[in-house]
Amino acid sequence: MRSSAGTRAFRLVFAICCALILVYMILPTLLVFPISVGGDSYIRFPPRNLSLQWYRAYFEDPEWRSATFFSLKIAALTAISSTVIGTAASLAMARGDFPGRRLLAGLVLAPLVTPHVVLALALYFHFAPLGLVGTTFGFVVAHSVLAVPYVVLMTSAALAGVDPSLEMAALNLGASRWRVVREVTLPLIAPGIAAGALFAFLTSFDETVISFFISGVDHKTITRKIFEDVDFNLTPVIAAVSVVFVVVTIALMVVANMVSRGVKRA
Amino acid sequence: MSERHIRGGLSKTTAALIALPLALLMLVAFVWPLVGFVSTSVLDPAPTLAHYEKLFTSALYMRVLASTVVTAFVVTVAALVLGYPIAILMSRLRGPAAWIVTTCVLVPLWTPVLVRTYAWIIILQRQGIVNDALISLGMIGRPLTMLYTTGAVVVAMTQVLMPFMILPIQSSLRSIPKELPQAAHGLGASHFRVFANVTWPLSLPGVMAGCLMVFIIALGFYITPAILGGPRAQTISTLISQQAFELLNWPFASAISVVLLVLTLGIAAVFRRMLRVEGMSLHA
Amino acid sequence: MSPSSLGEGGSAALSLRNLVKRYGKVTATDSVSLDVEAGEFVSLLGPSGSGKTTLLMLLAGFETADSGEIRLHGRDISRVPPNKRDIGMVFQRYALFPHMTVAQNVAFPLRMRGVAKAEQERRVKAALDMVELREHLDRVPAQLSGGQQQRVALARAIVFEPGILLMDEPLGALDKKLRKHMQVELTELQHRLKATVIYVTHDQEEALAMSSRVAIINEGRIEQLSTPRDLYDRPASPFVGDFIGDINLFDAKVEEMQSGACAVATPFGRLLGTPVGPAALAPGAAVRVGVRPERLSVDERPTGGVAPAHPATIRHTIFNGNNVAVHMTMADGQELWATVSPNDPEANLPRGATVHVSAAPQDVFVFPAGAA
Repeated sequence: MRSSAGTRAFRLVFAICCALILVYMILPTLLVFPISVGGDSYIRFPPRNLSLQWYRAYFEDPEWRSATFFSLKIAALTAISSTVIGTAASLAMARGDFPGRRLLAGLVLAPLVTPHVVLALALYFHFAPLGLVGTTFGFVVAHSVLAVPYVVLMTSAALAGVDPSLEMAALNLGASRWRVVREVTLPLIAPGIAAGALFAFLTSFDETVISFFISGVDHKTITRKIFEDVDFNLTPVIAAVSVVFVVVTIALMVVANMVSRGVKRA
Repeated sequence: MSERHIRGGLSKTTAALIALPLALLMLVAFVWPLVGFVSTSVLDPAPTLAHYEKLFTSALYMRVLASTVVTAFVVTVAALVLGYPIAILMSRLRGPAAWIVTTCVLVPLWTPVLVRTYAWIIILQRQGIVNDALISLGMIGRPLTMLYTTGAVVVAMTQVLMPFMILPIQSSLRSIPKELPQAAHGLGASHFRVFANVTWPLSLPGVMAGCLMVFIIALGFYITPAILGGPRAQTISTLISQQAFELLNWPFASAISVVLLVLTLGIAAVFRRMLRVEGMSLHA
Repeated sequence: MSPSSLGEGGSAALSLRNLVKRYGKVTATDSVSLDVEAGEFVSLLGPSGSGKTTLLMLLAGFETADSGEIRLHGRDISRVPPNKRDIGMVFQRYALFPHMTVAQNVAFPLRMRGVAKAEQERRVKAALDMVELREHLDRVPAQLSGGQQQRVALARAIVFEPGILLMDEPLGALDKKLRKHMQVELTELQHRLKATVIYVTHDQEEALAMSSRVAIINEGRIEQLSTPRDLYDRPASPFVGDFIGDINLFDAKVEEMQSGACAVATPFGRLLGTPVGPAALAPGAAVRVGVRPERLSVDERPTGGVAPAHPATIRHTIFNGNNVAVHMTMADGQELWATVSPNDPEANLPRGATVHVSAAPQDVFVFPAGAA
């Protein structure tokens, strides 16, 4: 392509603008890393001297520790429940017909566009009289509603990619409907299920608003704890927590992304 | 023949049975709570429209409503203006450069919103990075108050929501056949005219999807306004939580929630064909 | 043969009776009846959308007929679910399970039937020997060539010794050379196994080359069921004539009936032909006339034979190697194609030359009008 002086100048300006925008996007994520290793007792950027004191503070504080474990537990249980429920429903919607199939298919995506604050209040309003606020069960149910759309999206995409003649072949070769599902369909959509489970785990682990409202006094998620500390006690320990949080999230997302790419290729 | 009649894999009973847990979950933890919660807006203490009347006749609340919509709109426009060039970059680049740009888009998306909001506090506070930089450059004498303003909310929310704009635009840019812009160039069109007449119109589905997604999420956004906005920059969602948890006025909180739900779910329902949910997490 | 006699006679491996399948207003299978003898290779041949795939789906049990009956070796399987039908099937794109090895794929139907492990192994090896693929036991399908995948699919379909073998365009995904080769191999294997095969294809050459009989499917009906030779020499309808090989088709009127032959009036003159079908043709009846290009005689001078000859103008000639196609216009503008030997003097006539066209009465098919 010909490039006149005007085009070259435009390209330079475009490149600089893009670089600035990218810095704007990535900066907040990167920032917590240097802050977390600061040696001062308050947030200072750039940090004067390096220290791991905030990580030690995080790992030694029983409140942070129990919040972390609680979050991990909820996320794991949410991943299991929403993966089982979501995969079964995707199978039903993709390979069968039942009254209300289209309604359910639309409804399951609704939590994606429902403001979390409204859902959080509704769940609190609903759970409080049942004594579910602050309980593991309450959390898992609430987070499953948020996580199950991702599972359904991933597994439905995986199911759409399965050649229907494979399932027909299995039937033809003598497999019962249930064995077709077990021996052919599920193994073929396994990457989609795995990606869905990872997304579900992260959806729960990162979830803030509902956790904020339905956390109890002793059962707090890590996000609720961060939220509180940001409001009342802004110390670099949050940066250390954030770093751990970001690293875990990004690592799992990378895995989920690789797995779901595998789905598309298969 | 088509796949239409080949699909019949599961019997009606089996299908209904294995879809049942999801139906129950949605019913018990989504439909029922929402219906129960929003019905208090017209039923508490007795059948009444008083809560809506209060909401729609109060200048204060209407201002919050209007400013939320305006903020969401500004964030959407800002995300489009800043995100479009990045989407173009993502769709054109190859090799390590492409990898860097993609990382810069995806890593923020995967950074919990809470962490990003925390980072914005550090950037924008009185002794924050921006103030320090401006003072040491001698551009200002005293630190500026940036935190707890609508401006701070817009800046942070735009950053938080930009990936939702970039990804759909990028995917519709990618689906434009490469020959098309080249052919337009070959026919003598300038870069600007190729963009205006070929690239931009063909990317519109992605633009629409991105704008809808960002606008819908921005309308109901809670974390960033709650932390960065402070009392002066209230939004519908912070108003709802304040009414419910600080003032314990649940019916009123419910009435505001209905307005927010009608806005978000309404937009989503009307434009559902244009909404494309990419495989990504949208926790707000 | 009536359905009740099937059990006693036992010669029909597969018997369809008045099979009907409708999708809304579309009748995909329109009262199809068909008997297939054990060891026969019968092709279902038709253009896409003709209903041959629906017929196959009905046979395999992926669809249920609205009415009619399917009997496999005397047993009524019309309402039997696909996994209990005991029908082997080779799918269009093989449908090998990508997450299983070759051995696991072939063992699958045995495993589903609860065959003992050792017996499974023995039969898998025997089946793979049959298709000459024993050394690839532990590969996954993605590591095999198209032809090899085809053989695995075949081994998997025969390993459980089904009552009948269905093949859905099994060679469609292969390139032309390999397809020819596999045609030969498939027929040889079929002979060795004495298997009864129903073979669905839209490729007429393939159907003619492999089948003992071919069923021509059109608009959900069997238009003709016959040996390949018969289909070519005695098409039952203009559709069959056109679908199998090339044919010149034009409208005409019956002039007079003679014993076993009739005279028809065409716009370019009178022709003698053979009526097709049981229906008697009355003088004045509208008919379709069909003549194969190679059965048209093209001569520079009228030969003075029994058959009436009509003048035509050569538009152009196409050299095809083993023959020359001659494109002609009759006096009334009707276009006809003929093929002649490259050595004939007529093969080298210039454009615009006048020739005389005739055909023997037995080569001129007179179809009742209204037949498709």
